[in-house]
Amino acid sequence: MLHERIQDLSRCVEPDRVRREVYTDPEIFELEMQRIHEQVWIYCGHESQVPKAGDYYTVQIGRQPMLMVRGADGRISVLYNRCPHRGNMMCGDRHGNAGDFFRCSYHAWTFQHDGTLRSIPMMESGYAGTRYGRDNPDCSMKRAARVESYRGFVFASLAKDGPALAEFLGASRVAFDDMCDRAPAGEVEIVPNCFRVIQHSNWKIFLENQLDALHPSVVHQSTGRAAHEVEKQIEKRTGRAPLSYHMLSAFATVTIDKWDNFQTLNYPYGHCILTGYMGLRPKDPDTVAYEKTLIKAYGKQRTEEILAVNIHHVLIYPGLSVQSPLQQLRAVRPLGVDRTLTEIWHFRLKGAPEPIYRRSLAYYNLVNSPATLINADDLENFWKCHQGLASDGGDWVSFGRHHGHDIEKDGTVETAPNCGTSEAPMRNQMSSFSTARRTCSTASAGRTGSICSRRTACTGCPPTRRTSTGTACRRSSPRTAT
Amino acid sequence: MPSIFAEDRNLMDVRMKRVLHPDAWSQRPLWGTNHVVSNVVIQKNSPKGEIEVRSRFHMMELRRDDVRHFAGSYTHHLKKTKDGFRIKLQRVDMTNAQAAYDYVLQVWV
Repeated sequence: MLHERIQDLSRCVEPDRVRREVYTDPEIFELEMQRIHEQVWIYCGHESQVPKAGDYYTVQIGRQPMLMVRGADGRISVLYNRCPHRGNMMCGDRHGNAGDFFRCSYHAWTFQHDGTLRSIPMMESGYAGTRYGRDNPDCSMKRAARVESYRGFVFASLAKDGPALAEFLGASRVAFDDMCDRAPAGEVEIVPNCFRVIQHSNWKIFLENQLDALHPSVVHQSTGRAAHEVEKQIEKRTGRAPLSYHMLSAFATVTIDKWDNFQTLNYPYGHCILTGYMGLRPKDPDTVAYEKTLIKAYGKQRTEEILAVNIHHVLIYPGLSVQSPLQQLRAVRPLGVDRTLTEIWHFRLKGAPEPIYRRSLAYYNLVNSPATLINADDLENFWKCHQGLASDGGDWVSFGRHHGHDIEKDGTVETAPNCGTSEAPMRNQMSSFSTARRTCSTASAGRTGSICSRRTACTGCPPTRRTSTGTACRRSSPRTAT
Repeated sequence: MPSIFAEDRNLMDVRMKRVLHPDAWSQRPLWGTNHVVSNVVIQKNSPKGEIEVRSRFHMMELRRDDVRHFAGSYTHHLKKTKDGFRIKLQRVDMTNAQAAYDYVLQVWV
């Protein structure tokens, strides 16, 4: 049976390889939603997405449909998108303004922006002598257990306990610091338009690709070469080609052997950084004008420090990939074991000249729009990966590149010199993945034959599969093991 | 709604070269398409011989075993040449422009 095969999940993850079921097994997907996505801090959105009281955006956290909403007092709440009366979804639109309060479309229960019950039609007569009413918290919309924001980026955790946001983010905070510091005003503003891409593959395949420095030369060669050819033609004609051509041609001009020169930094909780490779500090008039506004805001020395931050990608496990120098991020919303939604947003640097925004818009479009010249070929590979992993052609996914050469310093794992293509980021993500499992099956870890072995009734499992106190929860398998 | 295909001649050149590269993984094999264009209305007619035409379209695309459908409206700026009308500008507004997409469009619809 499946649960016997995966009774000990640490067997699924070895230091340099991972069982394929981790990507393809629907039960493992359910468990990782419960124990990772619905526990840790997940990015909900940017504060500027909901500028006015009543503004809301729907957001998926794990399998939970949530709402991020701005209250009249300016505070942002994250609520389950569900009416406590009969379970009706409160907001059917992806975003909008709720008005002065939320009103359920079924029986007109109304709620404040923070989810507190406001009124029920004929409440006094209808509920006299019952347990229902304003004093019962179960009559209010349920809130995410914890909500915090960092430099305008809002995160929520559905678990009461756990590290505070700043501690969870740790060094990966640089993603937001770098993005905001590059704005003369010290903050960014979201562009209220989002590309939403559905990937036909497991969510982890996307995250592992983000810091995979070996793939660009292989996957994006066609675009890199074509862009390089045209870039040279433009330079010949006019002397200078727009930066967007350089962003594309770098995929070909940075040849496969050069990628080892870069570095990845791997942090606790699965977060990782890939250092920059594009050289995004050209000397064109737009950049020079922009740097002048920075010097005016920060002074020369601080400006140099800001512009010296050299990052290509920051991955905040398990759901966010940020490209701070280009002011964009991708939020990962797993929809199923083989279906993943990525939401791609970009930002304006407040106080920066318009051409700098146009530059980030160009990259945003070229890499992530439905007409992308880059992501198209990634999506093809993600799909092929998932198809291959679903086969019995092999049991393991290998993450062995430069294994054994990682350098550990104060909890950070750095790749050794000339090991930029190391699969250390994948190893780090998997290490976080397997740790989450261990900490979630604490009470009776010695009990075998169970993937969900708490002493008490397992609240994480669907009610029909919940067991009584003291019994390990043996989940039935929808299919037989091989 | 930002334009996803607002490309000048140079960028169009990159796109064409890339699609025809043998390692454009998502573009092999190349697709077959079929367009149905209807409700054609000439909106503007300039003395220089340029016209602005609006129409509706439905496009079917085949790649491997998958059939996809796209629909929306076209706006064409057509220029009169000695060989007849030629496209100067084509704008496509897809009906599902704001929805999540599980596809990519690599060539002009």
